[in-house]
Amino acid sequence: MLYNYFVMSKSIANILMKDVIRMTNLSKTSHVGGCLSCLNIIDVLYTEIMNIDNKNPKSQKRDRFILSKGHTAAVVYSALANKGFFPKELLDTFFEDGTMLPGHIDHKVPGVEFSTGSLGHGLAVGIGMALSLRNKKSKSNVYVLLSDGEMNSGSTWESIMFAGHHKISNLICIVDKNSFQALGKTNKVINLDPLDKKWKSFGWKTYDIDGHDNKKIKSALIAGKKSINKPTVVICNTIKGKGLKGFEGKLFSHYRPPTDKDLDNFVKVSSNEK
Amino acid sequence: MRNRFINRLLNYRKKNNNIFLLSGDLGYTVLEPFIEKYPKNFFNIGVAEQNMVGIAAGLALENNKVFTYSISNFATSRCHEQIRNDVCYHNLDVTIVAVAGGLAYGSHGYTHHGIEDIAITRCLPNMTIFIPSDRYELDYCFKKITKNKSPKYLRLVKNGEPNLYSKPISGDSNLIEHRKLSDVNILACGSILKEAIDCCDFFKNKGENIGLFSCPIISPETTSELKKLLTKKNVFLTLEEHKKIGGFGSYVSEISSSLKNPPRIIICGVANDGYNLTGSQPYLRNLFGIDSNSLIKKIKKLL
Ligand SMILES: [Mg+2]
Repeated sequence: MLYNYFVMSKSIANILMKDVIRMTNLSKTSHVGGCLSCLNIIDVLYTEIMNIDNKNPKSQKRDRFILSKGHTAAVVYSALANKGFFPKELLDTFFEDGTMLPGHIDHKVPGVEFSTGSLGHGLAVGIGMALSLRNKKSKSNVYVLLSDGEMNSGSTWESIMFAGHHKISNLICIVDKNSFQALGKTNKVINLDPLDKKWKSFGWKTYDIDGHDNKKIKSALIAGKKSINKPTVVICNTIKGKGLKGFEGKLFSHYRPPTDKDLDNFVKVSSNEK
Repeated sequence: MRNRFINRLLNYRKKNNNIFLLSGDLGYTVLEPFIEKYPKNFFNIGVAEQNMVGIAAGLALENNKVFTYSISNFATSRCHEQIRNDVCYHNLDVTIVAVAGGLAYGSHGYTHHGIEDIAITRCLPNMTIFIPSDRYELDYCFKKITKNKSPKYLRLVKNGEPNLYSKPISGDSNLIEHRKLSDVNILACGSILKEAIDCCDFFKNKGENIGLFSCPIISPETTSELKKLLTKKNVFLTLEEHKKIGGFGSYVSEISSSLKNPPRIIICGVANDGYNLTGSQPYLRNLFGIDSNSLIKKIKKLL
């Protein structure tokens, strides 16, 4: 069962999805669920929103992106490979001994700004980048993608308070609200609903949207870019394991790698839909 | 020492636009000259050290030279993972500045004893540690800090430390000779150098030379210099205001253990077991056997 991924002409969602399933299947590693929940967000950022250049990955004019939920590196590696930052064959070395592509996102990979993997780090670093860009009157924006489990971290709230207070409007945060964290439903572990109201009360402009609707993601991010006196958060309501049969909305999608059969099924279904 | 630091930073900022100073809501009557002169280059991050170090990393990624400022444990332990992952793994130009290193805030209680900081910063990649004993060593360290674009930890004391030098330190060595190498020697790290000098003076008055070297910088260069010094088969007492575990004495012992004929190393520092002591710096130095009188007793047994 596939979803309406081809809402925009530039979308590479189907390619990202195939890569992610293949990478986690080949390496027999976890986190496919969290890759698929934020897949549309990554798709829109890399195809519609961010100003990045594979020929000049360190250009001062580029937009900055930090994957704070570093455990879903596979989907970002795929986006970067498909955007020409490094050869696509390398994706098959994900998680291998001596690989350039470790399980948690790493700044040594071309196009990756920052290494994460411990939750609660990315937003502060994004603030630092945004402050410097603001001081230099740069037009670049900083995008930081957080998980909803990451909303437990005290350090995340330190950053939310600071960015709101200092009105860091070139900072756009996205929360992949897939309603799960490592040991269960987020609202059973620490209920933070209504999440948007909490961000709002700290001085953020908030959007609460369907995180699998590329058009809505795009328009919320564009609105965030236009914000002049507040940082923006786009809370994306998503489904863990989205698009992978049997994995959707399941806690085990955080852990279980897709089997060869899962991969075959996906390839079959996606080619039928074309 | 705190005021000297801000004075150095202020001078440095005059010629360099890309300097940022971040404070974890500390530095009353210390940071004001910098804040008043360069308000755009200063942020009070609030009581939020993890956020402070993360922001420092983000600023450094954008080619700024960043200094974070707080009290010893808040500057290091509280945000250790941010220092580890965000600053050190990315090899960024961030200097973690800690005040009240060692037992300077001894009477404030254990929360304010900065006696594990060397251990937890020394093990991090790309890190250079600066532990000046007085304002001359601070100036010496600060010069090196301005040239170093990697992670740095600067451990300060407070204000009003006595001058242990009479003129600016020349040369480039990380080991500064105070008394010639002898059969028995002290390697001192930080403001406790004063106790070592007093100890050496005591023996000098008796016509006995005790060797003394100050080691304000811990870096790969220091390791090379220490290797050469430790090949001489003498006794070395290491002296620091830090736990005996993982600190300066451990560092010297690790180097020594790689030598074919290692010298005898005696680590003088703060005991780890049964630690429940509070009191002034001189009081605690005496209790832990790291004041000049205790050193004199130890060395008498060796002679
Ligand atoms: Mg989640």
